[in-house]
Amino acid sequence: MSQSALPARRRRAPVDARDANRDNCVVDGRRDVIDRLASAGIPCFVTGSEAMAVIGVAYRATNDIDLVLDLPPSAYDDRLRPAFEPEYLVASLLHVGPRWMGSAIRSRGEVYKADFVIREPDSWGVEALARVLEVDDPGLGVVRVSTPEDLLLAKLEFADGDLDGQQGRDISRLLTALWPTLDRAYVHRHAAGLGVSHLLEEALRRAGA
Amino acid sequence: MPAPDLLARELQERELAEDPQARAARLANQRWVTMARLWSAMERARITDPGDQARFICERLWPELHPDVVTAFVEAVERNTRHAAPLLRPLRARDVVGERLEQLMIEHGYHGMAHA
Repeated sequence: MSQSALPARRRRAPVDARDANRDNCVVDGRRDVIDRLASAGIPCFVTGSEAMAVIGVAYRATNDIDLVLDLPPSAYDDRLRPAFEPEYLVASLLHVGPRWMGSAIRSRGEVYKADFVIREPDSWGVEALARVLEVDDPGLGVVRVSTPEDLLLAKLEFADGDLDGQQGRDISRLLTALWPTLDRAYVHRHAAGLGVSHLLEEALRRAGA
Repeated sequence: MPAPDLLARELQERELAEDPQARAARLANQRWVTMARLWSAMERARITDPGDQARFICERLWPELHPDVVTAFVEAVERNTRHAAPLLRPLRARDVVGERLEQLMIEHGYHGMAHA
């Protein structure tokens, strides 16, 4: 099937010249979120359950996407909001623990939601941003995604001490599938800095890793 | 109600109101993308032996499977591929979801094709 026969709304705008020649990759509407951030000059990377799916550790069961932004919270309304409205409903930024949380929901056409995370500056946040992987993903195209180590750390932090919920199940999957291949020294170092070493040890014990 | 909760509720309501055909196409696309992602991960990990591929797929997609079940499946794959072609990466959605769902996907604007 030729690309020209497809509805325009599902075509993914090329993000760079290298990508422009690859015209038959699978298209995901949430690519639009990433492209809007790129157009606004806001660096980002995929984290959360979508990142788990991108690295092949889980199904993508939801129609949302979590993105870590390299953006000062004070620039959220001036730079991010105009890049999404009026096609999206953009929620105000909320300060939750060591991070700021925002979101945008597609207000017409296809249904999907983007959750935005802006970390307060800390050593892990800076290092995680520098370590991101660029992956040619069958769903999203060329995309920057959290490393498995940083995904694990993010899940440990979001678990808020509880390994019995969704975060705990994701942590278990990550440890079961990937722990022998991870940079364990990096994980332990930042787990200590984030105050989640005890949770990591408990998760490792439960996973038998 | 906080804004994020309002957005989540709207998302949920819109998904509930989704046309059944569109929903079937979307879910079929998710299955196809999931399998394509798994194969990409397998290639990044340089796993090419059919038995190792079978184990990788089982452990990633169904981690709750008992190890004995996975081992039995891996052994069956190894027996069946000894004199036959190795496992092949699915190149289009029909290889994962079948022709009918692939057609439905295309009608709803999904590509259903692997990268060039």
